[in-house]
Amino acid sequence: MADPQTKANSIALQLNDDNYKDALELEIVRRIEIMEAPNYQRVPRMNKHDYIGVAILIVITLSLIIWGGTL
Amino acid sequence: MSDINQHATSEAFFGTLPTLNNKDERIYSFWDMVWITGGYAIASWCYVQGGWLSSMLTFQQLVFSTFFVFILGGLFAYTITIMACRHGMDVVFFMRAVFGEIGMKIMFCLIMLTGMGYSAINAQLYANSFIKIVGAAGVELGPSWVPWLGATCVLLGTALAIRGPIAVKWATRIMVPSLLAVGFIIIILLFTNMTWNGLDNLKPIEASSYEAPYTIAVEWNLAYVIAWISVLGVIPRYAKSERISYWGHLIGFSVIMGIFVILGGMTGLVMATKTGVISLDPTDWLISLGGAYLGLMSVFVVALANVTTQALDLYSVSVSAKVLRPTGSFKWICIGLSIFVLALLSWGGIWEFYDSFLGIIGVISGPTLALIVTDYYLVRKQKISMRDAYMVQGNRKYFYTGGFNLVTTFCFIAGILAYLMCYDVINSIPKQNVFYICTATGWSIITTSILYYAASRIPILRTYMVPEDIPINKLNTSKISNAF
Repeated sequence: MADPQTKANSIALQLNDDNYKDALELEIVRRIEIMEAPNYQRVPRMNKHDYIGVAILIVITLSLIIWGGTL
Repeated sequence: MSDINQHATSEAFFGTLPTLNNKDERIYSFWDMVWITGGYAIASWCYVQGGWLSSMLTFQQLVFSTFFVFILGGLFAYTITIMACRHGMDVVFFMRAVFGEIGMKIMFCLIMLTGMGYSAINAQLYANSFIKIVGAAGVELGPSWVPWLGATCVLLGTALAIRGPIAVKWATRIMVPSLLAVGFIIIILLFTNMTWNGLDNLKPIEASSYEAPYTIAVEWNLAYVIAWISVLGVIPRYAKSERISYWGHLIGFSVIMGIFVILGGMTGLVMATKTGVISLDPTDWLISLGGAYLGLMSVFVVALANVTTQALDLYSVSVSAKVLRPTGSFKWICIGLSIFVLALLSWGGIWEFYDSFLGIIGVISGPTLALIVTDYYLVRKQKISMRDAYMVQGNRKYFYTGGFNLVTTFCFIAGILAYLMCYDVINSIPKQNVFYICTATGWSIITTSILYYAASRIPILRTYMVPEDIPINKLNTSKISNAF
């Protein structure tokens, strides 16, 4: 994992109304740059099994909702 | 700045930042996610929803129209949590890409203020509990006392909320076990008064008042579950993976919440059958089924939980509002929202016209959800310009026309019209056959999604809707939008 990913939370600033927007923008840009780096590892994504699970659940719940209407 | 305001400012600051994938920021495991979403979901409003459904459904219909609709609606709605988790970005910033700068602010305020209706319901429940406790001591208070007593709940909640996160953290530690205890007491009361077979045979006493009670219940539950849209972008930012975020939300906001709504519905059904009185109020059930001592003790717990729910709700909504207006005073935002809740409470309409309230939530949340999901997954193909979403370094492609994405605005209005054409929100009467097939919220979601996707297939509209597709990096969308 890239170094910035483990060091990214070190923001040492005292927030107040005067510097808030500047500080916020600086930190957002810094983080976006880290995310845009080619070696940045995003969180693990949903995989094929998750999507199959979603599809199966949709079919099951839809069928049960329709069946419930006949009770 | 005061300490509390400083704290809220810091919270809004960190709440605004995109979270990175590191162990300090991605802190929620699957079970963390389940407890957080489940804990947030099980407030008194679950019982009100269940109580309302019990007047028109049998036990079996209640289970099918609640549990499975919550899961089905959740499977669609929580796709938002995948994008929030992937980019570490609150969905409110993604809404800027969909609605435009001003459109996003209007939509956010609309969703936030509609959601405050639930706070008014909590305050009403608190007032009802208080009247019963005082009544047991021999002092009879009439319904005219409800707004005044409810106001004390709002004021106590506000006082807690403006004391900052430590007070709110303690409030939550009281709230969640209290509500779990009430749920537990309700289960005991239910099964000491009724068997499973008995439950199956109960008949709802107001089913004949509705043209299609089961389908209307499906509609209300769908609206109820997607009403969580305003909080779906916050918690997933801290999840360790997309699947933790998605499935965690499904268990918390659909399965656990569904169980509590069904519990409320079962109790309402038992009480209505035994006493002939329909009540949305869990305090009525607790006293009716539990007798004086157990009932009153539970009523006290409900009252306490409602104050803490009020505090948690006001605090989180105020911090979210501060994300939109970073330099605003946390204290005054909190007080402003409390005044809004007090106004809703003194009006009393949310409680009296609860079904219409759910309809309004469906009208707003359905098309909003449809636009966000269709935009991210089908139109933008899961890519977004984060610099434009945050409008940093002069990137303002998502400003669109005068702050509004005109295509989105058109599709949103079309979605609302589709809803209103097939369902009479005020009288809860279906107006078109399509309501029986996919409900009004479902129809509005389908209409909005198809229209928005179709618009994105027209090249000139796509250029407008997805300005980051244009290869010139610094191109300002306002120049394109001038063509419209």
